[in-house]
Amino acid sequence: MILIALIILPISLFYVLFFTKSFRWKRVIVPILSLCLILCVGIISANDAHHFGASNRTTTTKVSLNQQQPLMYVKLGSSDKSRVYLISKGQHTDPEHGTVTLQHTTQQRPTVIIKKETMTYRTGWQKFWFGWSRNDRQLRHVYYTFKLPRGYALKQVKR
Amino acid sequence: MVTKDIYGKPYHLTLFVITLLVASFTDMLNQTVLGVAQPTLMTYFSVSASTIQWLTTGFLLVSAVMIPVTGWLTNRFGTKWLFIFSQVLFAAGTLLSFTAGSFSLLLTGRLIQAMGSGIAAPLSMTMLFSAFPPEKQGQAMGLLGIVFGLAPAIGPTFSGWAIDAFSWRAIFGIVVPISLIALVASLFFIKDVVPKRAARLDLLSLGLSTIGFGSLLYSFSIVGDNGWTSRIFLLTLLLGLVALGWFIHRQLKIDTPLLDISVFKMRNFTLGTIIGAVVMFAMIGFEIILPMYLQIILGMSAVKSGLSLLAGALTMAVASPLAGAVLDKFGGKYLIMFGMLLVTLGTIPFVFVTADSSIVYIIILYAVRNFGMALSLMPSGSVAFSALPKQKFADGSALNNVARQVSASIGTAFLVSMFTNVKDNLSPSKHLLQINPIAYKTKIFHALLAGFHVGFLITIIFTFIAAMLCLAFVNSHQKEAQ
Repeated sequence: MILIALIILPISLFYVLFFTKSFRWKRVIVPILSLCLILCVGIISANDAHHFGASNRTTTTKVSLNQQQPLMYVKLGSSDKSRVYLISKGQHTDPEHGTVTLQHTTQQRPTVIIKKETMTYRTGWQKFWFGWSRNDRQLRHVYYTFKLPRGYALKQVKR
Repeated sequence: MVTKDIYGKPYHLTLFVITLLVASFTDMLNQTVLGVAQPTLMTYFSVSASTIQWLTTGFLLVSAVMIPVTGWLTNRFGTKWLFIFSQVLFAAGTLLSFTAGSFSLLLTGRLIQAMGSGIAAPLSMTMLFSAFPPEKQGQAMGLLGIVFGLAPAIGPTFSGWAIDAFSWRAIFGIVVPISLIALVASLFFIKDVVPKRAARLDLLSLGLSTIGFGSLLYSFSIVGDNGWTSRIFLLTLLLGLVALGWFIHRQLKIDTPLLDISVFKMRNFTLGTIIGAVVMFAMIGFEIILPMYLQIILGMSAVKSGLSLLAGALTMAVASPLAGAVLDKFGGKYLIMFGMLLVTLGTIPFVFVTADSSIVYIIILYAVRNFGMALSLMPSGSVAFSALPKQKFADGSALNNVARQVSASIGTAFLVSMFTNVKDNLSPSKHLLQINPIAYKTKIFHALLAGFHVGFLITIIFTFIAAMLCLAFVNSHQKEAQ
């Protein structure tokens, strides 16, 4: 709806400014439409840059790792500050948006808990205003918590 | 609709306008058509990036050098044969580019094209404005606005598509038949609509104008690679300014000037030209920076980024005739001001774009911005022209066009260099790429985004200044000169 408002408001303002004959009518409508247009642009900026109007949604999934294999990772850069861990075939940690924590536990099976934070339009009101902006379910951050049995090996894989 | 030329002979105005618009469209399309094709051409001809750049820089320089002379040419030879001559040059240049077997032949073809395009751009404006009665001149400019809005925006997309589907030759090959049709049509439908005036060509003025405008534009075309303090930039800029200063001084002194710059005594002409130049600064500069953002930050291909901006171009094409109709009814003062304020407002969200910005927002905001552009770009020219008597249209058109051309060059150079400066100052050292590539990527994206934000902010400042300048317009349908 905010997109439709962004299209309709300038056209309406243009129409009222140049095609409405009644000066009294103009004096009332023009400030209202102008204010709405400024507000609309402000809301769009806030929604786009700061997810205004969206709610934070966290989904948590638990994935079991292959017990027979060590936890494989690829080192990004020489400083070893960023690593990409292989979770399963075709699935790995996101080095850009993710934070990885390795925990050693007494449990037998190695697992990883993936906590994904996305910005979503949950309520009907939110969907009504921002539904067409194509920024629903935009990823904010992913937290990977690996729970590894003691002695479970880690293996670096060369790229 | 039948109207009469300067000899009193009737002609068909609709066919006259269609011929003019088709020819102007193909001419203008070629200004932006080679940006996307540069990498392909570099490989095909085995030449460097700086050499291939001459296909665009050379085109810009030659067309800019031709514009000031067009005023004199129009007055001397009349509109019909000058327009036909410009179309012959353009068609010949396009054909040569299409068949070029070497880079030097391609460059020659481009320069011949540019000569035709440089004459046709101000001439189309003069002809449209002269052919319509004063109460419909806004509509005439609105029609030209369709071309001015669509052609430069379609250029890169068309070029990308032509290369992907066929080869680089298709960029010119597709234009050849259209150009030939326009040439044949102009033989039948284009008429003399401006009274001829036999004036001696002042060769010194011609030389000064060529050196002045050529050097000035060249200096801004190289500033991106060489920097604002480089010797080559400062020398060419100084040469350009000195030659232009001398040129202006001479035009005021001699009896038969190459360009009648006394038109600047008309307040609305001067203001309309200044505002038109500022609009071009904001429009062309923005249209260079936005595709860079779409491609570098949002990771779009050149064709996809071009297609994303097509809605904006179409908006401008649809809104231009509407702007013309409003202009004829209410004058330009509030229309242009509203347009500029809309552009300012529509650009504000671009200052906050991120690496995850919604493309839908960008498409719609760009369209809103272009709606504002349509309400100001051609109307500013129209207000400028309506201040002049008919016999000064050719000089006014040449000056108006040259101001827009120079402003577009300065705008592009200024915005790109501001973007580069901010980006370079905030960029991490290359060493970080080895140590921590993820941190490097985050920081370089931050630096690039800051550069884009500054670029967008500068256009906001300029469009707002243009909006405020509108307050000084005399909003009257009466010609100041009459």
